[in-house]
Amino acid sequence: MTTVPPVLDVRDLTVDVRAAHGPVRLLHGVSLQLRRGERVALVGESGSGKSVFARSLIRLDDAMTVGGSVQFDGADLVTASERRLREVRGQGIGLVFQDPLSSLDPVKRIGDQVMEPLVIRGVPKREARERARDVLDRLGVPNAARRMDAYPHEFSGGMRQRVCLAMAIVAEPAVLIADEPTTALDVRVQEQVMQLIEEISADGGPAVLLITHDLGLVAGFAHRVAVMYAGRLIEVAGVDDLYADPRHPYTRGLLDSVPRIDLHEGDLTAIPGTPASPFHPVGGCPFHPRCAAALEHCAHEEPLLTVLPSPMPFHDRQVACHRAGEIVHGRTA
Amino acid sequence: MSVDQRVATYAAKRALACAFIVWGIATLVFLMIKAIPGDEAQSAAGITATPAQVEQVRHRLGLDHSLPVQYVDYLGRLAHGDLGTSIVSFRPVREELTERIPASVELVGSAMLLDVLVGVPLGMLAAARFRRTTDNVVRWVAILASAVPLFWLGLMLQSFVGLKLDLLPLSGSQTIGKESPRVTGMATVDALLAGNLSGFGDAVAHLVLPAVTLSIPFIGFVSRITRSSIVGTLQSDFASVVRAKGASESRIVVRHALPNSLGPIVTFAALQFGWMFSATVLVESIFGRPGVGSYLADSVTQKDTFAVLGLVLFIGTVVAVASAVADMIQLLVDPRIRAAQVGAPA
Amino acid sequence: MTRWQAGAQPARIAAVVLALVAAPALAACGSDSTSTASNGASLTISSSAPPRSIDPVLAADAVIDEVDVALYDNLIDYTADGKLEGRLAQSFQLAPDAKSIDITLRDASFHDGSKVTAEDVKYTLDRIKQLGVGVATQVAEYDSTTVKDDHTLTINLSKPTNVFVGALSHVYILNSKLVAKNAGADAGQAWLANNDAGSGPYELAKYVPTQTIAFKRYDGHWDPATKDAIAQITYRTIAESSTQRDELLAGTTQASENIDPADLSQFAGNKKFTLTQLPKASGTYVIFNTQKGITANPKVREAIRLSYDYQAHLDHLLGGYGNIATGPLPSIMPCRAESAPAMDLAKAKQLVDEAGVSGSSLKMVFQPIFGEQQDAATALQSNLKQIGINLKLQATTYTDYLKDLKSVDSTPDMALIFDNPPTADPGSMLFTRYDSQFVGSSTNFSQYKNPAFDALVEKAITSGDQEQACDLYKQAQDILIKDSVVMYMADHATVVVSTVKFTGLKQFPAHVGWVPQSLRLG
Ligand SMILES: Nc1ncnc2c1ncn2[C@@H]1O[C@H](COP(=O)(O)OP(=O)(O)O)[C@@H](O)[C@H]1O
Ligand SMILES: [Mg+2]
Repeated sequence: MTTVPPVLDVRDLTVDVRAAHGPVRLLHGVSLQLRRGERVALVGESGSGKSVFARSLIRLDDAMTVGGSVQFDGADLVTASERRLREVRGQGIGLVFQDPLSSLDPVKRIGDQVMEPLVIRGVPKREARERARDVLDRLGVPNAARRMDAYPHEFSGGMRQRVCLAMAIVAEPAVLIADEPTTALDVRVQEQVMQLIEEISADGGPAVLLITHDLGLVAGFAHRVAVMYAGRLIEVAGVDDLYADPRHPYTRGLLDSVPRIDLHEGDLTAIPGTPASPFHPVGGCPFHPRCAAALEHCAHEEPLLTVLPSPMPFHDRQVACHRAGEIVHGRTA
Repeated sequence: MSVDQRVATYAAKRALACAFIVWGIATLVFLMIKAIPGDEAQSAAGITATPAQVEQVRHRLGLDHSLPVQYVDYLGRLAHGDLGTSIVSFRPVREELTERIPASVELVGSAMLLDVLVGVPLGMLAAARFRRTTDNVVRWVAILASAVPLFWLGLMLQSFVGLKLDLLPLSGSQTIGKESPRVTGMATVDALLAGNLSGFGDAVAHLVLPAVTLSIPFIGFVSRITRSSIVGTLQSDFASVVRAKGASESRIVVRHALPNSLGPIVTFAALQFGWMFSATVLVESIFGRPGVGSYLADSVTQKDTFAVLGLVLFIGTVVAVASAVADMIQLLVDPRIRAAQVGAPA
Repeated sequence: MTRWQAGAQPARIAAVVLALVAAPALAACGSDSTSTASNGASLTISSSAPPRSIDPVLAADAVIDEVDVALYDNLIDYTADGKLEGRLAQSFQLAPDAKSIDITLRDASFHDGSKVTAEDVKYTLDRIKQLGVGVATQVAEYDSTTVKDDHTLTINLSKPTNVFVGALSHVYILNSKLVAKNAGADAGQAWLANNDAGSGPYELAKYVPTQTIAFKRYDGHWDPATKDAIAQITYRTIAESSTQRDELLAGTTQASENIDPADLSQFAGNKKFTLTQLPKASGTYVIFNTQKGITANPKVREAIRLSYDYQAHLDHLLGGYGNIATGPLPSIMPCRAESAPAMDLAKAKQLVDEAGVSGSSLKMVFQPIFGEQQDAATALQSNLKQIGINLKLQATTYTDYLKDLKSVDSTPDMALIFDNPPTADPGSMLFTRYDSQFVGSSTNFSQYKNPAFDALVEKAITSGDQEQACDLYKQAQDILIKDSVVMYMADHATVVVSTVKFTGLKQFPAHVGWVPQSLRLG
């Protein structure tokens, strides 16, 4: 798999926002590759910087200063012109957000909103409408042709998220980024939506970056998993490796807090302490205040994301922990 | 019932509410005028009138009846479109109003047009360039514009554009001798109706300075409301989604933010009608235009009950109708409001 | 599903936009027709307030009178030097008992060509009485008219008064047939509000209510003196004096009137403007409550009169336009007694001491909407301080002031007001303002009660002999002066600003505004 060139190659991505007392760094040099056909999950507690990562790939927020490089389709999106970016947005990289209701313009008809990425690119109205209908059909919106004239408030949550998915893929992007696409939905619908995303990405569909704080969704879906904490990737691994043998204590913590059928509710352990905040940075390893395995050393020196040799070929994994070598299953031996 | 029918029902309900508001205004003003100290019959007859003459006038104007009777009389006449007789000119108030209202409507209408055509785009521009130089410039200009005294502004424009540059007429609503036959009472419209192009040009030229003067402070207000309303919308999630589709900033502002922000803008514009009519007094005085402004001021000082009543009723009706129209516009633009007011479509 | 958007019509919108853009240009092309004014044939005048009606029954209002004086003829009027003169009345004679007036009409015709007859006079006076508004208060003693024939009639009065003769100067004779035809239920009020039914030197050429009034000389007028009056006179309403100035500079108007004294400085010093001052039958007065408090003492009133700087008032508050008042009646009134006050603080102080009122306080009301009153009140306050009287100022409105006059007790110690005689007859002012029968009635501002004065004025008013009446009025005024009943401060002036030369600009005692037919260009 590593031989396939990545469709999206993010290197050392940094993001800063201006705050009252100077710039605040939200992302600290994140590197991640997405290959064609690949489904990658980006996980981490709420506030770890996942959304910032997704949005800053296509520079959605004016207020954020982006550094590093984002290679996509022969261009570096970090330095690309606004014009080039607009080409990439929607057509190169599609985005689905967490809350399907607030993601839709309340006063525009569904059809017009789904067609919009095409209309913007000069696709004739009639054709755009047809394609939008096809996509909605494919995503299981019943009566798509008629429902295109309806307004968002007339749709259920699940249907709305299908519409959002349709908007994101109607222009056939090479990469689909879904930022917590199921968080606002009830459990039954969550599965349907995940199923849809999986179908979308199958045979020739876009590479998918699924952003979630719910590791439970990841297992059956992703090929690889990247774990984010405090604006850094702290572990990247194949999905099986990660579940079988999490190396970072934080990953372990995340896995432990996933509800599992074989465990009683009382055994569910959340990670102790409060999540890191970009506005109150700590020295050393950002996780050390909450880490059971932390040594004194951890408070002073930030561990780098380093490649761990894997027993299996092509399944090298990366982890950023001083004690990665000693840790098995996320616990010190 | 089809959606069209439901919308029509809603419009009818809204019109009824409007009528109630107008009735309320009529009642309120009637009570207010009665509450002002001073003898109406005395002021109608003049200070030198003999007591017998005062009584004669009191009787003729029906002021000798009890308040409820005066009120019922008044409402009855109102229903027949009779606004009473001015106690100053002894002319039917309706007639006096028809002489003045068209000119004010022409002025307020064109100022409102400028207000919306300039103020809204200005606010959109500022919002699209949120916190950048353009935004800051527009914001300061808007604050200045809404703070500038109308009177001073009018005089400045008049002496600069009218006198120094000699580009536009100084005052009046048309050049004497270029009038068209009176149909609507609005110089511009009458000229068009008469097919009198040079008369139309003349009337428009006379209208430009007063309309610009009247609109400037309001442009300030409208652009600020528009800006803040659109900035709010631009920060909502769906604006990000549209941006992520590859839409340009102007497309987001025009196609998405504006329709979503129309509610507060339209509501505000409707309120402005009332303010504008009251502000005409200064503009009309500077630019020598006939209109309701001076009439209102005059009638109030002279305690011309029925004239004030007629005029306040008119302005109140304008505001009530404008806000009903604003509601209808919102209804047409926003499907959620439509759903809430007339039910979900079939 | 309904479609909400209306179909756009780009072509139509474009046409409208084009029309709007092109409009000022079109106007510029055709705007050379206005500057033909100064060839002597026409004159455009800007005035600050439009008449609300031009119905002659309302001619008690100066603005309305200014229009009616051109459109209509009265029976009798005052000449510029204050003499009564017959107009439509070829001759008039007040009966010795002052209870009736015999009138012979001259040959005159209305603008529609019909003759002016005694019936028209009767109709006009009956209508005024019936309506009971406007000039009705000035001719309140009118009882009936006896028509002898087309040219002779007798006006019968309900009680003896010679003031009535002068009051006829505001009775404009209506074309009775024309009015009756348009009368409706309101005795023609709505119709006459916008239409002309007169025989005056001018016809109404065009009337756009609230905007323009254009007069055309009526060549069938009986008076040869009006033959060479200006052929066309147009009044344009322009409320703002600075706009009036700019229009004069731009040449679209040639004269302005009714400009507030405070605004006259805008014109003074510019060679393009000619300022002509016309004395006006109106002035600034301080009224004393002569019945109550220390102002009931004539010595106190005299002291106050002596404390004021009248010259400074004229120079600074009126910008030099107007005159120091020289008597209870404005200077252009006939039958006046004169005694100009002069500031004498020493004497004033002495009077205050004699009266033993040093250190007392007085209250004076004034109307702050008038700059002149505001300034004069403050000036008087500081003058009175110097003679040991503490003056408290209180703002009021005219309506509230009139209400205060309903009783002696509620009447303020002093009031600074503008006042003018109801008609051009001196008796109209002396009688209603100072006769004791009007105490507590809102017209006797001073609540003045003096049997000697009453006797003189009542005798004058009921006298059939104008000369004798005049003499009695002067004696009555002497009492007011000696008694310091009223503090007359300044007489007002109308200032006409023009860019063309006129002659014949004269003030007529019965008309506060000017009289268009008296004007000549050049
Ligand atoms: N526009 C912004 N300005 C300032 N701080 C921001 C902004 N957007 C996000 N952040 C901060 O960045 C951090 C990461 O946020 P986010 O990416 O939304 O987290 P999540 O992983 O839950 O998606 C949070 O602490 C958040 O407060
Ligand atoms: Mg997030």
